[in-house]
Amino acid sequence: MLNDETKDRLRQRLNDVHDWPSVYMFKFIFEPQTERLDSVTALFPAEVEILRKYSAGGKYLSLTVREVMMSAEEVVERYNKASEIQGVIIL
Amino acid sequence: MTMDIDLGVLRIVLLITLSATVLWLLYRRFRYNTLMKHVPVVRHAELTSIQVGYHPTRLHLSLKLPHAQELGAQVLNDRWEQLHDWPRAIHKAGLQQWELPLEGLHDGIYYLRLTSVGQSTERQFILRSA
Repeated sequence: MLNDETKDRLRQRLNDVHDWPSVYMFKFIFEPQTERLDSVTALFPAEVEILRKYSAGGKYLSLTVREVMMSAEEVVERYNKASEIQGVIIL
Repeated sequence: MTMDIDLGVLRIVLLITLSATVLWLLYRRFRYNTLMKHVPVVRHAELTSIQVGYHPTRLHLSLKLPHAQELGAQVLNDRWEQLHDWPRAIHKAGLQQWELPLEGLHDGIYYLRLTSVGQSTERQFILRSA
């Protein structure tokens, strides 16, 4: 779970860069286990676009998700939920 | 007198319109939040293994489909140009083995792209026949 300082910093940076609503690109890297993959994809609604990219040896999976976000707060909340999933690197 | 009535009617119409708009906006917000929580991403096909076969050159794929879905497959080169495209078709749920012919490709690095509705998977493979 993200601490308050990290959330504030992230919120500030997001607001500096984006005009909301905006298409936001989430990126995650993890070892491709089904439960983990399901936990990450369950964070997103059905209409999002997801690209999975495996590393050359197939040991790691990168997930790119594009979604229209209404505010920095929504993005921070999504990252906060993702940070609760074990073994997932959030970019 | 007529002006008074017109203004009164106008005020009522505006109040009704405003209330309806607020209710509509609240409904939209509620619907969005509900969808976010209760309708997660549809599960996509799992590409459990990918192997290259030779004489003739082909790809062996193992796929796990959580439910019947439409899938397409493409092969791209390292400059991301599409070289092969297999037509999209609906496949049954469960474990599946696919064999995709790759005639005419030279040795090198390529990518297999598997696409369903709204999702795609890319996986690198190397052709090394010599």
